Amino acid sequence: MTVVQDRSVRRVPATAVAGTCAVLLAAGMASSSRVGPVDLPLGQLVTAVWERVTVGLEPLTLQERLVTEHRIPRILLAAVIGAVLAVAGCVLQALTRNPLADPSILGGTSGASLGAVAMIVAGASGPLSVTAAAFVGAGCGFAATLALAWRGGGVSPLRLVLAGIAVSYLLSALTSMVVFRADDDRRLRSALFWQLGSVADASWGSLFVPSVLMIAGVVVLMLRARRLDALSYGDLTATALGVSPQRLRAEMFVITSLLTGAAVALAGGIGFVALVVPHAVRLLAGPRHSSLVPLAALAGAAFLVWADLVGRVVAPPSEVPLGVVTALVGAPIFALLIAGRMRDELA
Amino acid sequence: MNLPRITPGPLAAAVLALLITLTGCGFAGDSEDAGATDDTSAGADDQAWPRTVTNCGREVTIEAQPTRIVGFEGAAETVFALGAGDQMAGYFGSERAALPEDLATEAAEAEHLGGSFPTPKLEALIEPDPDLIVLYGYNQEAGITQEALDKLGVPHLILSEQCPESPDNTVEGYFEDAETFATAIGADEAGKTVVGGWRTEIEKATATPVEGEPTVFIMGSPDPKSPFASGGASLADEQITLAGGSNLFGDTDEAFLEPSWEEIADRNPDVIVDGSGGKDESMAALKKYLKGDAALSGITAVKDDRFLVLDYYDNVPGPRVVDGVVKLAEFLRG
Repeated sequence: MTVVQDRSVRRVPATAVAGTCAVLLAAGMASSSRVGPVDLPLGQLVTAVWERVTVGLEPLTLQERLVTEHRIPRILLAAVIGAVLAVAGCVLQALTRNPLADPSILGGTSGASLGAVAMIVAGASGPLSVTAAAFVGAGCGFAATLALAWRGGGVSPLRLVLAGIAVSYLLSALTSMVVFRADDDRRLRSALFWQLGSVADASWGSLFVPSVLMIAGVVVLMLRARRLDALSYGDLTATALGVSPQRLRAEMFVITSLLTGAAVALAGGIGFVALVVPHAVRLLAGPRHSSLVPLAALAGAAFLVWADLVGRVVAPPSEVPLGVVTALVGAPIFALLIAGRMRDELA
Repeated sequence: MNLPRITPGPLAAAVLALLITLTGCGFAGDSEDAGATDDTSAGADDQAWPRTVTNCGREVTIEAQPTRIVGFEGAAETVFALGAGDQMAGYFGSERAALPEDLATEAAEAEHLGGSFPTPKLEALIEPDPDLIVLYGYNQEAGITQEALDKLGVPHLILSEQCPESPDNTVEGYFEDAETFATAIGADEAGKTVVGGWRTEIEKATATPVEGEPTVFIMGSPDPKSPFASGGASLADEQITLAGGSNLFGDTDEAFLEPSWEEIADRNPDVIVDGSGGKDESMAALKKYLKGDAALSGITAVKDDRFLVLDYYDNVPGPRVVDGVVKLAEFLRG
C-alpha cells in the first residue's frame, strides 16, 4: 500500500487491475474447489462436474456430491456476494460523498441482523425464515434511513449518513436487547454465527434466483456509474451537468439497498468488503466510477472467494466465520489507508 | 487487491488466536489427574462436623450440616438426586416442570430462583443467605469468582468439568463430584447408593456389545445451518464411548467445534443426535434440512433414518448425564 503515501503516483491502467483481479478470482475459485474436507483427485472432480451437468446427480457418490452441491455453489456465492458488497460500497461512498460509507452505517446490516437474530432467538429454525427476516430487516433499516434523510424530493449526503448512523445505532441496540433477553445460550451461538457471516450454506436451489437478481443489479449500477462521477463534483456541478443529484441519490440508494439486503440475508453480516475493496481499487485505478465500479465488482469477488478459502483451512475441522477473516484482512488494510491519508493532510 | 501479498503465517496465527478467544474455554484437555475429588472426611465418624472435602484441588471446610444450600443447574440437581431437596434454600436452572420426576419431587422443597442464563449475579446467589453454594462453575462476568465467594465466607463447591485448573470432563469425574457433594451435605449413605445406582444403570444398558462401533455426530446447535459439534474433549465424547459408539469428532482436542456440513458428511456418521435442547422441534428442522439436500441426504445416518433427540442436560454434568449415556446405549442397540 505504498501508493497511499504519494497521491500523485501514476495510476495503474484499469486493464491491468482488471486482469490481475480476474486472474486472482480464477485462481481463487480453482484452488477453492480443490481444497476442503473432501479430497477428490482432479480427474475425478472434473468427471463429477461433467456428469452432474450432463447426466445429473444419480451417478455421483456422497463425496462427489459434496463438491458439486456444496463446495462449488459456495464458491460462486462468495464471488457474487463479494461483488455485490464491493459495488454497494462504491456506490454508497459516492452517494454520501463519504469515504466511510458502507451498508453497515446506513442501517442495512443492522436491520438485517435484527431480523435474523430475532428469528433465530425466537426459535424459528427454518433456514428460509431467517433469510426472509434478514432481507425484510435490511429493507426496513435502509427505508428508515431514507425516510429520515428525505427532504425536498431527494436526499443530501450529510443527512443520509447521519440518518444512517441514528438508525444503525437504534437497530443495533434492539439486537442487543433481543440477545440479552434470550433465554437459550445455544441459540445465541447461532445468532453470533449468523452475524459473522458465512457462505457455507449455499446450494444451487438457494443460489440461483438471488444470484441472477444480484448480478442484474450490479450491471444496472455499472451502467449508471458514469453519473456518479457528476455527483462527486458536488450537487451544483452535477445539476449543471444535467444530473438531478437528489433524485439520482435516492434512486441509486434504493437499488443498492435491495442488493445488499439480499447479500446480507444470504451470507450474514460480512464486514469490511464494502468499505475496503472500493478504497483499494480507487487507489490503484483512480476514482472514475465507470471503471471503478466494474473493477470493484471483480476485486470484491476475488477477495471474498479467497477469504472463504482461508476461513476453511486455518482451523480444521472447524470453519472460521467469513466476517472474521474479512475483518482480519480488512482492518490492517484500512488502518494503512487511514495512516496514509492523515500523513497527506498533515503534509 | 493486496490480499495475496500478506504472508499466510501471521494471518493464520491471528485467525487462530481470534478463534480461540471466540470459542472461549473449550480447549480444556481431559487430563487424567484432574478432579481431585476424594473426600477426606469419610473416615471413622460419618456424623462428625465440621467436615473437609477436596474440590478442584481446594480444601473446603463445612462447619455444620448445610440446611440452606443455593445451587446451580447440574450442581443443584446433584443435591436433588441425593435426596436432599429439603436442605436447599433455592436453585437456578430448569424449572420444576422441566425436571425429570425424581428430581422434580425433591425440587419442590426448594425455591426456583430463576434460570441460569443469563447467569445471575453474585448478589442474587447470596440473597437467600446460603450456608453452602454448589455451582456448575465460576463466572467472571457475574462476579461469581473463587475470591469473591471466599471473601463472603460461604463455602462453595463446583463441578470438576469447570475446575479452573485441570478440569475433568468425564462421567467418572462427575460421579466423584456427586460423592464429594454427598459428604459435604451429610448425605453419606445416599452418596453411595445413588452413585452406585448410576453405575449399575450404565452397566446394564451397556452389557451387550454394539455391532461395529457406530460413529455418532452430536449436533449442538438448534439451527441446521450452523452445525456445532462435540469434540474429543467434551463430556458427550465420553458418553458416546461409554454407550458403545464412537464420536465423529473424537479425534479433535477441542470440546466444541464448528465444522461445515461438508466436513461432517465426509466423515459420514452412522447416527445423528440432536443435543441442542431444541427437542423434537429442532430435530424436525434438522431432518428436513438434511433430507432435502442433494448431497447431505446421502449421509448414512440420513439414509438409514438413525436420529436421536437428547435433552441439553443429558450432555452436561449433572444427574441427567446418566440418562444421556443410557439413551445413547439403548439407541445404539435398538
